[in-house]
Amino acid sequence: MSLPKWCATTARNGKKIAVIDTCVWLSVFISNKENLIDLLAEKEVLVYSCPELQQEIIRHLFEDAYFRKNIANPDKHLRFFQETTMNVSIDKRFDRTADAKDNFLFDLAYTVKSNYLVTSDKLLLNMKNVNKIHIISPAAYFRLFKMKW
Amino acid sequence: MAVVLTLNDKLAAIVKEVEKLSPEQQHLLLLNLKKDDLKSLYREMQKGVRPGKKPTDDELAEMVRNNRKKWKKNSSY
Repeated sequence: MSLPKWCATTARNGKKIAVIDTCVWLSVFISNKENLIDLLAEKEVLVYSCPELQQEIIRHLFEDAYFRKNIANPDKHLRFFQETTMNVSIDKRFDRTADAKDNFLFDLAYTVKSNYLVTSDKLLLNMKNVNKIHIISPAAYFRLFKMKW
Repeated sequence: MAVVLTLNDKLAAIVKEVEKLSPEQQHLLLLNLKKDDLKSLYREMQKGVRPGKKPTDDELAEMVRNNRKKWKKNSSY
């Protein structure tokens, strides 16, 4: 009995491990970004989350005025997030972002050895690289896989 | 003598193989198997989104930044 070939070689490297910022998840929730599923399932991209990121997603879905008004089924959005990400605990040690409240994203990237932090936040995008972590827009990340955001 | 595998034997063999995979590999396998279900879930999600003009990616980033300020005043981050 054999499993798909790719199971034997999880790409624990390069572009296939990513951390996706809250703002990008919110864009996935409200716009038609079904491509994300193809990116994860077909290109075998591992997207990680942590309790801090999940908490932030929950607060946006259930507390933010815009999302409360415009999303009638936040539980489904949360389930989608949970089913498409791998949740891990992080060590809090990064302290170099311009806004300290962004540090958890880098802690997550370090913990899972991700080379990519995907965000639409200009303050973060301006950092471009932090050691081995490339800070990249969703459009640019999708382009790495010859896909459209 | 020919060995006839029952469905249970086959399932047990698959489970044994899956158990050998790392959590990351299991996650990817599950994503692959659930791709169609995820697409259905995504379409269900979209039905609950009020139609009309949506904030741009830049506007969403700004919204998140403002909320981080508001919500994380007392957090360790």
